[in-house]
Amino acid sequence: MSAQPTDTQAELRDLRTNGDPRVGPEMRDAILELLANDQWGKWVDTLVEDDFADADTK
Amino acid sequence: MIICDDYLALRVIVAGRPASIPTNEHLAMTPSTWWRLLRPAHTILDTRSQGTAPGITGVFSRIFAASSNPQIEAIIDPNPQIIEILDSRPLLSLAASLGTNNTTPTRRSGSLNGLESLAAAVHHNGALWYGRERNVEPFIANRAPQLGIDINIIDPT
Repeated sequence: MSAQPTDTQAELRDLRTNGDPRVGPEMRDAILELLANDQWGKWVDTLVEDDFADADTK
Repeated sequence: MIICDDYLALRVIVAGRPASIPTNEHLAMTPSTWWRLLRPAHTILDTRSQGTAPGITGVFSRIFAASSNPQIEAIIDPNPQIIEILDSRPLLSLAASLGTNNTTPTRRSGSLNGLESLAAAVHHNGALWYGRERNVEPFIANRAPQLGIDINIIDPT
């Protein structure tokens, strides 16, 4: 019989499955929608043109 | 080790790993990938603490502006059990070298972000994972196979 996960292993699994508990559902849903709609745009072009470009696409 | 782009880094922080990411793999991002997330996050946190309106209002800033400080801090200071931020010191010299040893140069021989991620994959014997195919720079797409580095594309949603 395999060993039961420790609390630490359970916490790690929960973090990997659900993400950081500091993030609330509204922020999570907004970022997932942003990712789904791929709104950042011009990703590679921005990187190649500007090494210090951030992800805050207008 | 899986070296994530900022799409996947954000995904795993806010909503956990997509099912297709192996559960036993360690996830990491480079400092320059982290930088892409830090800038809009600090734009909101710092202007909020000063009581002023942020001067930059991109889509990311708007999401952060509607979020509490502890939520934004989950992006600024990610839990290393979710995703590790790599030390750039052993990466940058290798990144610069990888950017010059090429036979098919594009406009430039890779961006800092792309080359640092490629160097991280080489240094840590890892693979590159991106949230969108078009996030892979042409130079990196050419160079990675020469170095035996796998590139994986996964839908972050």
